[in-house]
Amino acid sequence: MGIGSLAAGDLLRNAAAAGAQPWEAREPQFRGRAKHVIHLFMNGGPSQVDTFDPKPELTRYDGRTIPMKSMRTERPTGAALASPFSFQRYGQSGIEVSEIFPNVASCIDDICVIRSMKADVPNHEPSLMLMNTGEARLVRPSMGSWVTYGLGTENSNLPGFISMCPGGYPIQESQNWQSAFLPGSYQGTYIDTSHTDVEKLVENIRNREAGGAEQQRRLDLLQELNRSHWEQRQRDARLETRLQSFELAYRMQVDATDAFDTSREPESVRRMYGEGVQGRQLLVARRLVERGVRFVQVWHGPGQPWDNHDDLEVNHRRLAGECDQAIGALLRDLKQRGMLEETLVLWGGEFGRTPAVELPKPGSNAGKINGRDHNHYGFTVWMAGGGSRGGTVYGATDPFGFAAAQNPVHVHDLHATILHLLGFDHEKLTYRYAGRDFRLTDVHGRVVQELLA
Amino acid sequence: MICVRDIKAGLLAVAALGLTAATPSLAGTTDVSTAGAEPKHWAFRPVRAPKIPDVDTGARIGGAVDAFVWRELAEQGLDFGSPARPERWLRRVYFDLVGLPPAPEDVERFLADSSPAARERVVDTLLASPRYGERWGRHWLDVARYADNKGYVFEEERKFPYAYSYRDWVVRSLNEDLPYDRFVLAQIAGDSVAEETGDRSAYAAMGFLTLGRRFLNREPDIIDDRIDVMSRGFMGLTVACARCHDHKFDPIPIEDYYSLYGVFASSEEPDELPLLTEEPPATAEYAVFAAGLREREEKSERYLKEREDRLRSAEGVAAYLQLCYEGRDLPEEAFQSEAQKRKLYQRIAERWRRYLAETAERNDPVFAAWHAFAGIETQAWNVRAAEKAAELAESESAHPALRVELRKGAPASMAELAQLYGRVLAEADAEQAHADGEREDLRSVLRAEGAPAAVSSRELYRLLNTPEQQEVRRLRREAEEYRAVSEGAPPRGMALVDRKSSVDPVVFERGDSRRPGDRVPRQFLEALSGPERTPFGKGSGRRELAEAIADEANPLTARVLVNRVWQHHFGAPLVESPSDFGVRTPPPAQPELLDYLAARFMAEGWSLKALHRWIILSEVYGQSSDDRADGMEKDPENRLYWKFARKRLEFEALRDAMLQSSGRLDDRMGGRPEELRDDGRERRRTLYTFIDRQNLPGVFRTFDFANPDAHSPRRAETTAPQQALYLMNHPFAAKQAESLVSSPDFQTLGLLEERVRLIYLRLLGREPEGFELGTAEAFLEGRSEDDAAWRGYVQALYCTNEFAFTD
Repeated sequence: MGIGSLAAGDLLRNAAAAGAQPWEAREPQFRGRAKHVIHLFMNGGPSQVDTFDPKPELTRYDGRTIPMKSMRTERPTGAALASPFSFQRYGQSGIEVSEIFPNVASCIDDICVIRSMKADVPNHEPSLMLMNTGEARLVRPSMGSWVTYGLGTENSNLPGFISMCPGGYPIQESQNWQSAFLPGSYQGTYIDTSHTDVEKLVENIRNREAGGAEQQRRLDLLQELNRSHWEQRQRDARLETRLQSFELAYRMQVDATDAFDTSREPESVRRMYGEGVQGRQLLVARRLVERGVRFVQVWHGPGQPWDNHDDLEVNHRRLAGECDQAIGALLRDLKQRGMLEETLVLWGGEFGRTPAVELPKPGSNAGKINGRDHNHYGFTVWMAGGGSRGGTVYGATDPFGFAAAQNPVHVHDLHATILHLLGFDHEKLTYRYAGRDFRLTDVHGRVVQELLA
Repeated sequence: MICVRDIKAGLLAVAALGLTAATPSLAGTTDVSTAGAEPKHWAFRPVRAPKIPDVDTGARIGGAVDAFVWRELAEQGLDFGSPARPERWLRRVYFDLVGLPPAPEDVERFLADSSPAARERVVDTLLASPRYGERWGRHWLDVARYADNKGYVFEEERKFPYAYSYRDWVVRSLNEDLPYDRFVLAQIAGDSVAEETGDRSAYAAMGFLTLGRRFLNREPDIIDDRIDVMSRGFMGLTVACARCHDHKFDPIPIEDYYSLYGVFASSEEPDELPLLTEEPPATAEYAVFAAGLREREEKSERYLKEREDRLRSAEGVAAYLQLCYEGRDLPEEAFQSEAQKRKLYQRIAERWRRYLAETAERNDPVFAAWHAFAGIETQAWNVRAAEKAAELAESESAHPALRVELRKGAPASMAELAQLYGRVLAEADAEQAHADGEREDLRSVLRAEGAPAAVSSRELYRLLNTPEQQEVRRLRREAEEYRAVSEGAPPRGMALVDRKSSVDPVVFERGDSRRPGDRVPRQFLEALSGPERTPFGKGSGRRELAEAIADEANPLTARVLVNRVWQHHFGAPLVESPSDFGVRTPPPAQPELLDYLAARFMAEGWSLKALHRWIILSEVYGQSSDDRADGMEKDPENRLYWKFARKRLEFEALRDAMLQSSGRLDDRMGGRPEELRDDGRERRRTLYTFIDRQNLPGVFRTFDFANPDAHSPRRAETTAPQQALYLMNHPFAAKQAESLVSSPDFQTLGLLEERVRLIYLRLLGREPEGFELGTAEAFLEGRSEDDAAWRGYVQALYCTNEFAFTD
């Protein structure tokens, strides 16, 4: 065994033996650029050719057969479908962005657009699992769990890994933030951001009977008894850790309430993020990261909102309209506060969409012939901050935007690169389970140097 | 001659021998592991009872366990710690064996007499308690990755209707002290056990295999899960590592994985799961359930039947005929989308189209009129239709029934003719054949095999459009759910049975089922059965597989189990990785102790209860958990057991202890799981909570509950503020406190001291000390008459470390 297993597998075993807290902040393997991650998950699969990967050829062939070998996606597709949106160059980098993301576009010089992403299959479930856990079928820990396992968190008054989705679960539900064989504490804490009441946001955060003074009294009694018990037991470290966890919990009642309460932000900030749930949840994301939370995943909505098999124009415009202002605000806000350098923002779905129009299939779409099918051969994600190289475009799809053609980046490569930015060699962040040293990238992945600032 | 496979096996063996360099010539002469020479890896050697060490008569030796442990301690100049205080020993034993605290009267009785005989009595009482099976059953459910549902599915019902029958079988088997080899056998081959013994409850035992995650019904992943839970669970072997390639460390070639794969691929879950009793119960509850189920099943059947009938109705037939006529010139794709537009089934439309073409070809009398009219140009209809009608009405080539109709006059259009056909054909439709040949000709248009509208209900389902299929699935799900939640549904076993014909497995190259490789026989692992093994010969081979695992000659099965039991008693196992006894796992610090226990366990009938007694009534177990300077210096990790381990209660024990001490515990056993509630009003043991593997409730995760997605060798022990928040703020804790405070036992006590004493006895199994009475007085000062203050006091005590740990 090399240095690999030194990393976290042993770390945790020792920590558990000493009764340590799984969230205790830990140093990575080397100095990473990023300390936090905000993953903006556009679940359902946004279309690359309508957002960050303009394709003039596609417009030229609109309504005609695309002159290239067709690739199998989930459903039959037909002729080329030009993007209904116009693209424009932004910033010093001059990167082209679709009209539906003007606010994100205004931050383009901080954004590293990867236009050559690829996954393995054109179906939601396996692609969600791949993007989140690096494994399409079997039960494996999610990226957020790995990161929290590797780094702990900087504020043990809040969960280290939080997954927010307004109004319900994305498909595949909590498997998207599962800890699998890692200890349960590394599982993402799910928060339904359609609520604003903190009690509905964080479990057991408030006592419905006892007020603050009574709580404090009970805590004092508890700690007096605990301390005497501890003294009588040779100051066992496990007892001490648990003793302290009650102090932490007491403070968490205040801190968590505070973190989720966006009304404590100045009016100007709230206005910058915008009305509505996207603005609120991204503002919460910033507040959480500000308070030391390690990994925040923000889902667009329950189910698969970006899955526009029909009426792509109307729906993509609406969806982007819901989140564009908030994402732009998040990037600007992080930057103004000097947090962007240490916070890696990742934007994308589980795959992209076909440049060709989806054909009617009984029952599965409304047969309007104005949407796009799933496409795992080529799609776009982007990163900002956290040591990623802003103002650049990496990789390219073919002239129609179907498949990654230049410098393809597989999801495993993206994971390897993200871990690298956080200070981990993806081959060495391992956990021994069932006789094997598991890792996020399994036996794959390479760090894409060109994405690093 | 050495064939390629021999070399490979040899290389694997070399790995097992711990050699670093291997040449084919060396490999060719090396023998695998069990045949001939003694295997090098400790865990693959046969279990033999070691001699019990002779020890100093001055030592505190209760039995053989002590002798083995003491010898190692003495070598380091260490001794056992002082005996634990009686109240601490009692609380320890209660939680270890039944997962609940002792009642105040148990404490008082034991404090009056804690002699060795009294200790034996306590242990025997607890082993005889039904609570024992609930406690140790839960340990086993960790091994079995138990959950009450399937995980992520598309649309079928997610709950397993009978997972609980497995849970209950485990609890009952442990309570009855079913010999462990039989326990193993039933969980792999319960079907054959049930047939052999007539005890149908063994069908439930196979939940061990079947209640894993369903991976969207992908067979290779389901089987992989079963291979994994079986091999790690029973034998501490990570066989699933050989799914894609030979095991990297252990002598398990990929071929062996697929030999086992074949056993499971040759087994199936029967459509109708077996009842656990000969007959369904003759109860009123069952009758209600059976009627309710029938009603639900009929709903989906009726839904399909209605659609099937519609295909043969006058309107249905007319609609398809009209489509065929109006879409006669359309190419296939356009014809299909026209069918869809008209809300007709595409495949049926296609069949009608083909069928009509055939009838034209063979001059079928029934459709003679159809084709004749279809040939008329629309603009010529008015002139030609009447002529045609008159001509056909007298023609021998047209079917009499149509001739009769045409005599009444010509149809006004093809649409009208389609309706006429619909009427005529539907009128002649019947399930049984007509004796009258002419009528039968009409009937066969709709009923003959291969006729457009003749579909079985299974075919019909596939024809339906997506929303209709969804509706059928919804209705079927309702029936499934009804089975899962109805009190009256009799338990069934989530059994496997052998398929009619067995599968000869092939290796999937790189684990990819699309890349079949060499064929392999169904047989046991070479590393454990030697190169002379014979392939399984009976059915799927599951029974033979089970016997090979439950065999006394299997070097792993007893060692692995004994190690698991030790782990739960001492907080840490003897062998550090309880589910991986492979070559990378070093022997335990006390190899002879492990072998002694394993050998004796088998020799004395695989009795778990006996095993508990040997361990619990030892001096090693009876020691205090206090640190000592000499021990801390020489063996800080306590690998040699110079003290007992302080153990934190798992979630179930913690929660059950709250229920028990508050007096709220409902000790009803078994049955369907109950959902965790937000209001904290549940009263049954945590074992009976619904385990949702897809979205495990946060509180389970928070408290390090075993991951229900895969076999769990050992729970994590983490400390997080959410655990504290649950105890501080969840209504469950408040509910228990309230119940205790409002109980007559408590209310009748007048003095503060008496009340505090009762609380201490109930929660912590001991009398309060003076200082503790002082803290109570301070907390309750000025409000000792206030129940709310007392509730707060009890709730604070629920949060203490003393409540959450045993010494």
